[in-house]
Amino acid sequence: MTPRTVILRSAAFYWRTHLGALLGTALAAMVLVGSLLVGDSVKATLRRQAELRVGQIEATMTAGDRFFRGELAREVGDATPALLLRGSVARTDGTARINSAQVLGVEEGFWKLAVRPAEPISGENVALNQRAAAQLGVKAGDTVVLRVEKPGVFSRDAPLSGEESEVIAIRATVQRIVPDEEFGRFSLVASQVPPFNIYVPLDVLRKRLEFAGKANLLLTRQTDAALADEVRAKWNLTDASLQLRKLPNETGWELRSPRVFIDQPVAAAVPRGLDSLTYLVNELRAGAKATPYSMVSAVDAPASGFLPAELNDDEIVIAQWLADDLGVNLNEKLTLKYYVMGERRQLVEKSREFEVIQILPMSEPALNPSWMPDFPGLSDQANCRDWKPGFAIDNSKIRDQDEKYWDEHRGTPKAFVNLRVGQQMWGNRWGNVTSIHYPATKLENGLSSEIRATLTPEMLGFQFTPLRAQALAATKAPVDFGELFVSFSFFLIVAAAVLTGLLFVFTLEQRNAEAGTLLALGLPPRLVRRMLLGEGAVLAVAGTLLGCVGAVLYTKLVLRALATVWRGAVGTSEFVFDANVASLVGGGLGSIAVAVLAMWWASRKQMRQSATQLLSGEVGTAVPSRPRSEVELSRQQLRGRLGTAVPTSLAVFAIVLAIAGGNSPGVFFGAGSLLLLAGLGLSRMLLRGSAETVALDSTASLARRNTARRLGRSLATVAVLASGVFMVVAVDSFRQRPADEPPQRDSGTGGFALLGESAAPIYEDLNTAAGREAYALDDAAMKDVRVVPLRVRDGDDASCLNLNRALQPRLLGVKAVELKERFHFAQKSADWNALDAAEIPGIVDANTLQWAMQKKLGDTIEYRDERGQPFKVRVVAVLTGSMLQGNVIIAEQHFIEKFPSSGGYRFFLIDAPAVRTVAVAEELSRALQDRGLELTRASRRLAEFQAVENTYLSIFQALGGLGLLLGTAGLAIVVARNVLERRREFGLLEAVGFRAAQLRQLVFAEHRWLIVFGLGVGLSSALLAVWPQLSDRSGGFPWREVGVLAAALALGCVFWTWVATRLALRGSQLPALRSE
Amino acid sequence: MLVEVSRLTKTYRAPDGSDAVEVLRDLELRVEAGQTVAILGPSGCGKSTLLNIIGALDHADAGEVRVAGQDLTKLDETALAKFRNETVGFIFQLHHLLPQCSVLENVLVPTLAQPRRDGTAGRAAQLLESVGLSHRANHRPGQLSGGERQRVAVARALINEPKLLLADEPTGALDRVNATRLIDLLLEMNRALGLPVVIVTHAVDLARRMNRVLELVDGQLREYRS
Repeated sequence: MTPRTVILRSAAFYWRTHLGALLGTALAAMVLVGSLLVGDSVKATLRRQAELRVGQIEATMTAGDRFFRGELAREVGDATPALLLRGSVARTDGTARINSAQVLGVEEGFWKLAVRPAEPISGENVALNQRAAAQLGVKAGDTVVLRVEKPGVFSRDAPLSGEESEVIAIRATVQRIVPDEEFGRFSLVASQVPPFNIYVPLDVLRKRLEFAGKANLLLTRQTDAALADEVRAKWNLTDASLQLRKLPNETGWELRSPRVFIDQPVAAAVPRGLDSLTYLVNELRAGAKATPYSMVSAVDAPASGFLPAELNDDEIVIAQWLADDLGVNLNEKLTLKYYVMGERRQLVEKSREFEVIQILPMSEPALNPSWMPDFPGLSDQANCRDWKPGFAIDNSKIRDQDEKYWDEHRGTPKAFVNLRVGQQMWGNRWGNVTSIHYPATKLENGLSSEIRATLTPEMLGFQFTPLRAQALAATKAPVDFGELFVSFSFFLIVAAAVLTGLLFVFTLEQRNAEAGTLLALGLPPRLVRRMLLGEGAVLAVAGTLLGCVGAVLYTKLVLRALATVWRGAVGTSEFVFDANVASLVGGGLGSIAVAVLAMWWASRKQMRQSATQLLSGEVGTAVPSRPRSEVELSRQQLRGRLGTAVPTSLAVFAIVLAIAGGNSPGVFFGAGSLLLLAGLGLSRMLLRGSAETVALDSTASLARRNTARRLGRSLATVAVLASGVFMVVAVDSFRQRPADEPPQRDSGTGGFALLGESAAPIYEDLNTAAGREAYALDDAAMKDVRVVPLRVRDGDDASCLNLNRALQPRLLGVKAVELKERFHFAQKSADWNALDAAEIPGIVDANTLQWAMQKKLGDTIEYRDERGQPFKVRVVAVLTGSMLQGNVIIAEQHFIEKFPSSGGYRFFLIDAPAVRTVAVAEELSRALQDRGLELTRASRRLAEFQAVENTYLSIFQALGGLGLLLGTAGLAIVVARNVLERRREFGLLEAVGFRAAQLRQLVFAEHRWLIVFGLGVGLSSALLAVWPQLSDRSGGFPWREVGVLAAALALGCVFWTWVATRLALRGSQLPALRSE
Repeated sequence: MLVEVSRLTKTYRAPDGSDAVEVLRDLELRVEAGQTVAILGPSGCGKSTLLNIIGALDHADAGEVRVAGQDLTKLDETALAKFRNETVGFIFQLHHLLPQCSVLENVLVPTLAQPRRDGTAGRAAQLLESVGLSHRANHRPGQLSGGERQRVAVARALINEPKLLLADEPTGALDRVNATRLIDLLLEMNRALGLPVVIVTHAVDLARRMNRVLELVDGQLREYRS
């Protein structure tokens, strides 16, 4: 016989009595463990999706907007090349369309890397992933039309980059729908929502795009380090978009680039040679005579060997042909007119005057066409009039002698200037050298090796990414769903715990005599307490075990809800159930601790009673006795003062905290919790006060005294009710409501009507007549429309729509001035000018920063520029509730510095008159269909983000509602219990003439104070706590909704009290009196 | 002297502290080893209070209480619990047996306070035999009659070999036959073990079977005169 024997015997003997507490514990355990299992399942789902997304791929090599030889994949071994482009795809009947799809040109090796290796696509067919097929409503055998922009060799933002972009349409049969296991989820970025994937055989795509042998993505099972080593050993100049070719008459070697301009880091790194920059000038004029469209070269004069060593910045050397054509002589002036590329492909014509200091005879070997780089649309044309340099050529200016010169001398420069002045005129972010000449004494292989030795793949823009490691890292979701659901369920767990404690104490109360006997028999009070709590621990363990079983069901229920009614929060409907032993054990131990703690807390007074009190049944009467000494009097007065001062101070502190703390959720809960505590303290004071001061002159006053009779029990009920009410009301107040039209400029939409994203970049300024003309946009339709374009560097979606961790969120580049006074900043002093600071400042939406990135204002985000060099973006300002969620916004100038090759704009914020928003959207969609422009109403995009937030709030509310339900059920239990243990008292009242209805009124009157205090404290603390944040939002406070909610809760409480009173006071109470 | 109570005072007050009722007033009592004492008196006169104070279940407001040489007014809660466990055996009007434990286990309950004591199970069995309930050792209290339950309570009171047996109206819930049998049992224990017994009762005829019969009147004890 040991205390353990008694504990186990008692637990087994009183199992029926303990059932309530056991179920309470089971409920708390079910919710706690279930929440952790939800976290496990979401993690497992993300891991599974990551596995499906990357298959057997370990690492990738990308090259920004460059292309390398597909053959490189075979040379590095165990790798496969691919073309990864963006495009649009549509049904042939045009009834369904995907504007921004991921177009994958792949070969057999790609399919072998999938989780479940698959057969390649045959012939000229294509394949779609399940999401794309579902979106288009197509199946295998159907035909789709795919549109892809033909990639340029270099940015179309660059000067002389050739004719406008060309969109290639590919009509093909869908051979199969690719399931997730066969790379249906393939993507380089992490998201639980797969992209729209269209798979095309690599050779077919190359052929259609006239891009023979090229690739821009390399996939391998090797590690990124091994891949980088292999590429370092195997790359050649072609992969670096460099060419080494002989100069005419074998006078030397020339390094040039099909990208026209040699990248500055490359030009700076390669062995020193004769640098030159050749440009197409619009006009060479001397007096009244002008020669149109001519090549002029800027050459390092001292090193050239054919130019005067001291060629000054305002001096020019011209060819005899030009001197004859213009009739110009030595020391005469000559003016150059040329275009430079302004912002958004706007051509700006500039001019500069030079003095002719030398005229080269046409027999001069340096006068050869090799200086001219391979300008797209120029070098391959037979006639000058066919030139398509990327701007309009005025054919009327082209004369016969110009055509004749082109026929005889092709791009031979007609003039030479100093390299420095040439670079001042024509240098740009893509480079300021078009060729580097080396002496003939060098051997081709030696020179090639020498050049390769000076360059690294990273310098060429090759980036090696440990895709698998990143994918797995991204699954460590920024929001731990386990923790999230534990916090969402906090009140539910607390309610269950309080209920457990209450029910446990009820059980103990029934067994007061037993505890009294043990004490009377000399068992130390500590041992008796330990035995009783030990019994509670047995209950907690049993309840937790039961709860763990329930947790599995709870998890599946929550996952089902997440996949259906709460899908807005996660955007996926496929969840894998996973139960981690650590979660089961940890959650189980946690719930045991919570239950034991609740039992200890609830029973601590009960366990402090003396043996005689317990044996006589005089336990729990809260009526205090009058002080018997001065010390006791002063102590009682001190307690009374503290009882008033502490709740008041807490309330004041909470209000100050709420006002001063901005809109931080932590402050919100902190202030709310303090107010709750203050309210509970106040309730305690009032309940006690009523017991001491109310005169017994009516049934109502008897009811008030009775309310204070079981003070702890009453306060526990008030606490559960108040906490539940606080949560449900406060959370509902935070629900996002769509803003009324027209949108304000400082609202979440920034006052924009539409938001657009295009698959292919748009280079032109759609606010100008020229830009609109380029896409045949109707001027009338575009009247009063303003488009703010943003440059895009693709990255992880850091919005609340993505469950994965955003390692490198998408970057948007914008001119600060174009967003002036748009959107709403969290900091009063912040504005868009912050983007123009010297370092790279960024502006991020508050939700993105806090949740997806888990950073704060002032933190930095690490990126890599297009050459793989790390740089940091410092968060200098935070937007609140904006539709720009998920992006990091930097100044366009910084964007261009870091990603010089990136051309055009793919993200658009569009102002349009409210009445014509639909018409504007239709016009833009029509005109820019080939660019894959997808427009969304700004308010709708914002609503999508708000829906995520609202869904989380709904989850929180649903679980909170359950907590409240428990709270009200707890009220019913308290009522029933209070009545049942006072049956003799009610029997007496009945014996002295009280009617049954009067007894019910008495009971109801007793408990209405609990409802009043519970609802009052919960409601007032919720309103006060959220008031500062609410006053900061547009749309005002949702009084009506909160009023309805409060009324519904009050009705619920009244209903439960009524039901419990009716049930407990069924029939006559006189038999209870007789049994005494 | 086993029990020495001198100038014992105990006052009860109304909940608001007023209307003090002095139930014990300068009370004196001495009980010698092996003596049996009955205390009579009307309801509410303070009999149970006196017994509770001697048994360390209640505190005196004033006066001195020495039991087996220990001054109860000077003991802390731990020492008082030890005193209750080792020095006295208490029998209540209601048996207060644990319904979840067997008869034998109920007898053993007081030993839980001293878990390292050996031979307690054998002693419990002996005690059950001595109260005539060895055949009910594995039964639950709910399966016993009222008289049997009270005999189990007697066995439980004796398990730790107390120096004094206190019984607060032990026959109050029993019929005449069972009440007589219980008093027989207590006297038998007194004779067999030399254990002094102090019993509080309303039943004068049962009280007369004790060595001394005292009456509590106006907060003080005096020899009972019929």
